[in-house]
Amino acid sequence: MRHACLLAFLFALPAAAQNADAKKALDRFRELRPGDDDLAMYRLDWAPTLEEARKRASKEKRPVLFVVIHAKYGDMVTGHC
Amino acid sequence: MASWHGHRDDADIPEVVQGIWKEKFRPGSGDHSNVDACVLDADGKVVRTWDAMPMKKGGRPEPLSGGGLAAHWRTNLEAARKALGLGEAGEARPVSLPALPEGTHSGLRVFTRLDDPGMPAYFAPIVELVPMGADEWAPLARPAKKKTVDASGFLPWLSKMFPGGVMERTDPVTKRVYEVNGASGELTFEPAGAKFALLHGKVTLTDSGGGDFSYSGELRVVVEYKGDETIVKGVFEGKYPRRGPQGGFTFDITGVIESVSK
Repeated sequence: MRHACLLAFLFALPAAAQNADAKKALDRFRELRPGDDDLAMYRLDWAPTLEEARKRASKEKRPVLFVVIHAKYGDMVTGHC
Repeated sequence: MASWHGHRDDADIPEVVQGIWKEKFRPGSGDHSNVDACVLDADGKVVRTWDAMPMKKGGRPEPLSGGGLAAHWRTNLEAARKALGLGEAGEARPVSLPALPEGTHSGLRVFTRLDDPGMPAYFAPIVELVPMGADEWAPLARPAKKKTVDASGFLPWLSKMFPGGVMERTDPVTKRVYEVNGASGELTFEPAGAKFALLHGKVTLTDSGGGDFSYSGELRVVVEYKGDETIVKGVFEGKYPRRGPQGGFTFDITGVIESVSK
């Protein structure tokens, strides 16, 4: 009986270690996963072009906030400015 | 909200931009940054424009930290609301992350952040969504036993682990951002319980800009197998080198990966 318990413990140990590593990874995921405060940019209603924004603005009776970047790297759609 | 970028000698500059720049570059118009904002009413008429950066005398912008930039924008947005005849601002819209396109059922969402203390805006995560079909899910199928897999098999979503706003990784001629097109590294993929698996190891990423540019980090992804559904929760923690006008630095780059489904 003691032999069986020891064998069961030995087989269980590697799986427990793997689970511990997985648990650490999940804990880190929960720490790093952005919350709503970090994702404020995604509260904005983006349109891909000014033309699209103006069409929607006219249809939905809403204003447009338009950002103009004088630069060759200013593609905000890809997060560059 | 929309944005546009370009130079004064570009063809097809929108009329709104021409109007903003006519005033901006007028001799004697004062110091300014290279970013402007304006509000247009529902009919397309400009009701307010402002320099996106509050400027100090001598042509230097106010520091990005310290709340001055936010106060500058609040003041101008409030003035625009008044010009539009709008009342007090209501509740903020809910967060709306990139969603699965029509016709797709599942995918991975990747959040990437660059911890560059000189550019606080880079701390804001960039969010990309990668629709995944059977071919993309196959490398994440439950391993029967511990095995070694190549990171290149996960390029469809590892390629989204790039920091936004990094100017120097843009083609100077086409102005297109270089794409992450290479993932290498030997990863361990092993069972981690009855319905779980753990994928982990060092990943090195390269982009279409070539040269000796690369960045690396530790990837840890937990995969849960729940009936027909594969649930993914992972992190990437690495270092990203910047070599730009500000000099050469290395910053922490953090990625978070999660599955989404309809």
